[in-house]
Amino acid sequence: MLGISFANPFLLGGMALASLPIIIHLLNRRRFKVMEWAAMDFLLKAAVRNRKRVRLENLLLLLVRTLVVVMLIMAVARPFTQVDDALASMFGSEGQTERILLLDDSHSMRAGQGNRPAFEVAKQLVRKLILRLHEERSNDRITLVLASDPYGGQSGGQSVEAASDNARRLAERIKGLRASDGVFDPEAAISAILDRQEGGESRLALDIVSDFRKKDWIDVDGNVAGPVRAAVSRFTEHGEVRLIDVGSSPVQNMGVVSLESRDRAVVAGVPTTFVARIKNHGPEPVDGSRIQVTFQFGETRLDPVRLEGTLRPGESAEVTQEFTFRDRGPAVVQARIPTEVLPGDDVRRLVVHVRKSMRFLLVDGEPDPEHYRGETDFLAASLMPPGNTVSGIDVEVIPESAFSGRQLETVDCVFLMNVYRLPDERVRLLEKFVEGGGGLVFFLGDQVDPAVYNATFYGKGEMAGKGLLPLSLLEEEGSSDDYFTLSPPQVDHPALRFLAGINEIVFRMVHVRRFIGARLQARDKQTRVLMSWTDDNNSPALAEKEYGRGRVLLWTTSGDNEWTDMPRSHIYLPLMHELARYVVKPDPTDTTKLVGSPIVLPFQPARMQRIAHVVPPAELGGTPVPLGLVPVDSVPAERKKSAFVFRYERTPIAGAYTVRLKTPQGEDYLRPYAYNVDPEEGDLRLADRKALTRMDRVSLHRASEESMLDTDDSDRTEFWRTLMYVMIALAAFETLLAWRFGHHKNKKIAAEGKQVFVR
Amino acid sequence: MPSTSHSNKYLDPAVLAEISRLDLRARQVVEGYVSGLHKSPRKGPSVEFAEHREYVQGDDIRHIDWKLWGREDRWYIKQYEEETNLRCNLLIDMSESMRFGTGPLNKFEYSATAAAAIAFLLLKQRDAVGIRLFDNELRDTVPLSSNWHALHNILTVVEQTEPQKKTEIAQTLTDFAEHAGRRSMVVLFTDLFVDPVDLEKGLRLLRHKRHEVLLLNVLDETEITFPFEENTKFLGLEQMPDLIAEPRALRDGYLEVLQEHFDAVRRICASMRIDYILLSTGDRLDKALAGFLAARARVVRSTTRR
Repeated sequence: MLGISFANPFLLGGMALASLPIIIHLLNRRRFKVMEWAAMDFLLKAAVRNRKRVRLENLLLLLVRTLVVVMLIMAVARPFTQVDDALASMFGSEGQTERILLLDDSHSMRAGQGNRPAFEVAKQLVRKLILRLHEERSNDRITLVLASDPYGGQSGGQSVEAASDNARRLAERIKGLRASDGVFDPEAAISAILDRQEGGESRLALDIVSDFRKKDWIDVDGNVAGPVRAAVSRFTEHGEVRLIDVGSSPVQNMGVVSLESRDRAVVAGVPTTFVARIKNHGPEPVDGSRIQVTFQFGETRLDPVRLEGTLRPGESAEVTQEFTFRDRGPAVVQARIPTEVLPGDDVRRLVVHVRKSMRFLLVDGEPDPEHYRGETDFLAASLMPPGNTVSGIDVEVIPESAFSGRQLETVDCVFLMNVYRLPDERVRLLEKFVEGGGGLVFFLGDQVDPAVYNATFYGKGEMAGKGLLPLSLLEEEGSSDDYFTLSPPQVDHPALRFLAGINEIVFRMVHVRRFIGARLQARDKQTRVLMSWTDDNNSPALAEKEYGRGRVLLWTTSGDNEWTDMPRSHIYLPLMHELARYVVKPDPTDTTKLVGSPIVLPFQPARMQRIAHVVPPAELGGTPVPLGLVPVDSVPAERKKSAFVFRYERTPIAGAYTVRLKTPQGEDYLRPYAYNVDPEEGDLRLADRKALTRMDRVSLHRASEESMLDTDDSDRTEFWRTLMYVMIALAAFETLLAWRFGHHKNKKIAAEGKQVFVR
Repeated sequence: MPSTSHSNKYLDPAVLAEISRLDLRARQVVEGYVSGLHKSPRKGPSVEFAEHREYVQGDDIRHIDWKLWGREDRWYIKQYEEETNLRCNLLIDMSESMRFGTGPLNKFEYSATAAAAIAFLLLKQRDAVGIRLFDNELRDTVPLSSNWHALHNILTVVEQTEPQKKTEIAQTLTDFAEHAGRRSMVVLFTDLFVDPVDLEKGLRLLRHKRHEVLLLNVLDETEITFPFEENTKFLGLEQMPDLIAEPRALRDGYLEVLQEHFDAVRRICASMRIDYILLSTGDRLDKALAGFLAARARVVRSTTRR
């Protein structure tokens, strides 16, 4: 099929003008001057001789003149074709276009105005575009790409011919699409598109259908973010980019932006405080009392808690809820506010792993069988008081000599109390333990050699300050004749918050006679002094260091009452508990994720079988899906805990995903994962449209513009220029012909023949 | 020389002034008397002395009047009646085609003017001149005479002539040749829109009868150049059909056909020792005729010398 159409078909009626040269020719034959002619015989002979030639010349001129008119009429009618690359390339066409429709299906697209979410508007628009191309029998190919899955491609990862039935089917499938709970990463999406198109020869065109929120496109300077601009610029080397705006003005929206436990460990039977942070994303201030936050712990839903005060635009406020889990095991905690605009950002989930207890290992550097004479007696008694009191802490006390060979997998925190020294192997183990999240607390004493500790735990030379010890130790200070007390500490620290409002006399009641001086390296940002003695130097009493995922505390005095009477003070017990909960190995954090990130579970042959399943949320069907086991090398971001990991990619919806595992013995156990919407997805502020259009070869169209549905005219092959050139050439040819046919040699009878004389 | 009240139309003073210094000599032997101009087949003195004429190179020295030489110390020739009598018939085509003309004079008028001029010249030379008009047959005639009244008669005849019929040159020349009597010089004025075969037939008979022929082919300038541009309906003369044509398309072909015709005519003339000249009504007759006569005179003198 030739497939030639006309942009101005009504002008083709002018083809009647093509008869004009013929009419003029016929009219001219009826117009002549009349004269007598004596040499008619010669004229008749000439006419007979030239009859055929004259007829041919006249026909040729007529044909050329008619063609000129035809070319002119066709040129103004603007013919074009969209079929047949060979024909198109003959006329210098650009050929087929690979039209990529990038549909933003991020969570913010669920917002809209009225009852029409932006995603529904976007879907309708994309369907119209596809159907328009299909109806026009366009030569384009179409690929639909969802922002939540840029490498997958809704159309099966392959492009479809716009003119084929596959395009119609694609348009039909779009009806059933739902917006994901993920974010829109323009840079990643465009890069993925370019990667897939690499090596292709078709011209590209990209239509991005999105609400173009500020958080996705604009940086702090108000310009299009550098990586996004770079990705767009790379694409425009291959074709144009159209931004099709389905965004609506930002509306009032509140969101739960975080939910966490105040404690690093959630212990059954021990109250745990959970904190939810609520943010006002909207343009107007909100009265906090209107916002009810409902906490749910497992199946237990508590009464709502109201916010206090007024939240200005962009401000957030915390609301806390205390809860005591009865049973150990994983549990999902939710904090929810009433849904306003976006359902996904009104709830936040947290997976907690409720423990039976926190397991503390106390290493006694100077054991003494007499009660409360050992280094660890007071601490052990405070952490795990005798009787029915549930502290949530299990304490194990071992002598220093028993520490060698002791594995720490089942320990949440190690206390080294007046320990002289440890072998390097033990030190490495401790470093690995703390790095992995375990807690470590140093109590000093008379067995501690500062030089040894500095060399062993603090680090030497270039490694100074990189060890476990928060501070470098100096000399032993104090005397038995005098004492110091604790300076009132800064109570903004999570572990010391409970001291807020306490009378300072409480600190003065803590006496220390001896301690080891210590020094904080100014450049060490991981370390800070939490408490100080009241000596002249305000020497550190308690220091903290973050080491990997774990925390280290250093008391510069002893744990028993040899150097200090702190164990007998009022604050000792709550302080030790708070510090223990602060430094304990935390719950695993990889079970609470953002939508779109994969589930990655290290395979531990000793604990699980090779077969596992994931049960997605009900919106995704809720049917168990087998988990793939992949080698760790294919997951470069993962730490090599094992050689293989279970990996599951498809997490487009917020909610609980449960991994079902079996122990080697065949027992089932579950590992829940909580997926949340990106907390900033609730920020519905629009990107500055002017900033978007400042990008080269990028045009912005409102979804309401009808012209937005017009396919790029350049994918048509228009011929009018070629026809004009042909017409001009024909006109010149006609002029040349007319001159040539009408040109007479102007010869006269040869002069030498005029006279003849007989010689 | 008698008054020529008719001379204003056909006796062009410019032409006469141009050619009067020339003469028209017979090339070949003609009947009549030969003085210094025309040879005569007859020998001996003429019967009647007419006048003296100053000797010019080429004259027969037998006719030098030695007595007069003795007296005047200059040479003079005796002219007799007979030896000055060249008989010249002017044949003018008066067919319809001769009526055609785009300039001040049509072909007939141009021919008549030329004929009148030649008649004037001949009478000045005391030669006898007559005129015959023809179309499809011989028409009006003015008999040969060396009297100046002949000129008047010639002019009267041509003025009264209205060209309208077709040309039948073969028959016409045949009739003339058969009735012309003694051999003479025949000057033929025609546009030659005839079949060359017919022309040859007529001319051949004339030559057979020992007439000396001068053929003046008179054409209109447009007939020679065919300069027309616009679509034209050509109305044929002499019962020829009409033709609507685009002249530009036919020009080359027309000129080609015309050239072929002229070539044929010239071949015929050359083969019969007939002098031929193509005259265009666009040319100045005085120059054209004078040029023709002068050139012919040179040729005749060179021939006579041999």
